[in-house]
Amino acid sequence: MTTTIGILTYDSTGSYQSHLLAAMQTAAPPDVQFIIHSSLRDGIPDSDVFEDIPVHGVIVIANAASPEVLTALQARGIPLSLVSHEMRQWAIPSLRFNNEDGMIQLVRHLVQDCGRRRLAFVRGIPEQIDAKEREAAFAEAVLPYAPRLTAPIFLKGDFDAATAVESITRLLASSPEVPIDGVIAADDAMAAAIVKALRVMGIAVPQQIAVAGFGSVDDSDTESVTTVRADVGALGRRALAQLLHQIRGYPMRGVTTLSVNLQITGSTQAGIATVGAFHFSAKYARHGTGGNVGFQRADIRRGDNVS
Amino acid sequence: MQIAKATRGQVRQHNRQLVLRAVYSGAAEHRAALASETDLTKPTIGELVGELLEEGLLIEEGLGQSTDVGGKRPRLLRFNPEARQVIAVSINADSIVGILTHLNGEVLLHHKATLETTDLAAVFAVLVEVINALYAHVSAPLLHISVGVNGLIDESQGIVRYASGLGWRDAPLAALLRDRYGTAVSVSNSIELAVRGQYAFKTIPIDREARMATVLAGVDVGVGWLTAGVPGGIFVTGSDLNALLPSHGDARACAERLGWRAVEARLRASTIPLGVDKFSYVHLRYAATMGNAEAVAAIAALEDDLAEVFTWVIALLRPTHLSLAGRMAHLGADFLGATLAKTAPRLLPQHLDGMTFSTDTTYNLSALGAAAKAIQALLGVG
Repeated sequence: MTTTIGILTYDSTGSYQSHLLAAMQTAAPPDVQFIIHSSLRDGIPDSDVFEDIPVHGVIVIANAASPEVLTALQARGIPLSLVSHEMRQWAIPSLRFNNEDGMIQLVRHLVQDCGRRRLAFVRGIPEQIDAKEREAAFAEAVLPYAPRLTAPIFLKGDFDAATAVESITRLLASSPEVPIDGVIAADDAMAAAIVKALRVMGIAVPQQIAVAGFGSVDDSDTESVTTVRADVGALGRRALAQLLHQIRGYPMRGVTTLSVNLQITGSTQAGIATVGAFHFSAKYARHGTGGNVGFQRADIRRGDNVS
Repeated sequence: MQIAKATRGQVRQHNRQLVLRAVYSGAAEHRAALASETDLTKPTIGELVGELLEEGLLIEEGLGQSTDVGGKRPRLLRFNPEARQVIAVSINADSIVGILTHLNGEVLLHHKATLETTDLAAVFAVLVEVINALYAHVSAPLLHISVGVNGLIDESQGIVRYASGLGWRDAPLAALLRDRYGTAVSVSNSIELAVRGQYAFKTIPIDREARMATVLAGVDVGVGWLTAGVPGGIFVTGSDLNALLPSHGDARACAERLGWRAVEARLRASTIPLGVDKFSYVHLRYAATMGNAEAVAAIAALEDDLAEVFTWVIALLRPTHLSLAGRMAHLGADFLGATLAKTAPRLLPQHLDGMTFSTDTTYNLSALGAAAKAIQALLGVG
């Protein structure tokens, strides 16, 4: 029997969305088919979306569906999974990246590793949950360093490279001296565009301004930017796995968070190509290969400390 | 007292765990070394290694060096942390947090659901939904579901005898989960799990000989204890601390003085400019750093109350290391230092001699500890 999964997304051709969808389609079992409703192409979905074509479950990417549409789908008994979106009060399970931990890693890198003191943050789309979280996480992540830093500057970016570049250009034009020495952008595409623009302006990256992004997809343009790598393919695969598990009769609620990993490049540290910094979550402990979960060599002798 | 002879099955299990521990810890990386390290015979080693290779817990990877006397180069054995996965869950006062890990404790996923009620049936329903959400991502045989609850736990039967924060009595949590998921389930005290997590994953600098006490200050406040890597029998919760803390005319319970919910309510009612709706100790610390007098006073009050807890912990437990963990640890090393400065006058100098201290902001230590416990059970450790 074919399992039909409906997908609601704003723009199925966007870089982030297309990587998500490709990962889901690759990971899907042979009996799964997808029906994609893209708001840009098909119009904003209303409460009777997918009524003509029965679906067994729906994945909603970012803010592609209003609360009314989600309510209507739930009322029809259709399991839902949200990706980069969250509706906690309705117990709809969601998946996203660990924006908080990623931002802690990025800020620590710029402040402690790179010695930056005058930071700017380039925002994403204000209503989008990843954008909101990354901004809030940045604002909180800088607090412990507060005495050493000048007050950070927040710039409009909207997850749009041109907007981000315009914001940085305007900031730099507003002062005879370079007012910042570090930039964190809410995504890699904006960060990569900022790096290019700064170099065209004759500003040395990273020597004068270090630039970091927040990874969404692998892209030849973004490969050269320090980032926290967020595996969009894994997010897509896990969203599908979560929905299929619900369809099989396993109810769930809450937010699943995927780890992100700092990846350092020459955009923050001169002379570096790409270094995987191999941090586990900054909030979780890490330990070495092979692990040593709570015992030492002396424990392995026969009879010692055996439960 | 009658002492029963070990069964063949028990001996085999013990020997399996010896072999696993030796490879896991790096003490032995091939069959000959295993025989030497464990004192097991070569045929026994061969059989056990074969079994563990079959199960995927060990893998063969490359060739080692010949011994001094020459001969064949041995096949190297490596523990395969991806052979099994563990679901570890912590039931807190306001949420259930779970993680999915490999056998080396690498966290693959984190999942959290909020709790609106402490009713057992309702909380169990949310617990199942959290486990379901993690189970959806299991990609290797599930070794264990490990659950942490703040309360008195009958670990042998997996029954929560009493959890004051949740209002539970005699809740057969392990049996309910075992019936549902058909896998090994353990239930432990969440403070015990937190200290186990600290030790197992070295979230603080601690060595095997340490006697460690951890004050876990989150939504509730508790004290855990660990010696020689094994959590001890003292897991004091906030409600226990109420009876022990001097009141000095302050009738508030420990959780009302130091628990996050109470602190949050006080901060919300204050004029401290925290800047955001969803604030944390980080924001309080920042306000104090920027010179806000009310924030400074709020932190000083926390130091006073925490110093009372520290006094009790140090005087009675005589730890060599004291760790402040949980949300309050985000107030930082300066806060810890100031609290210790207020603690010292209440103690004899020898109480503090040689002691070390740390803050630990590792997120959800109880869930990490639950994973460590499951992994340690596989290896037959502590």
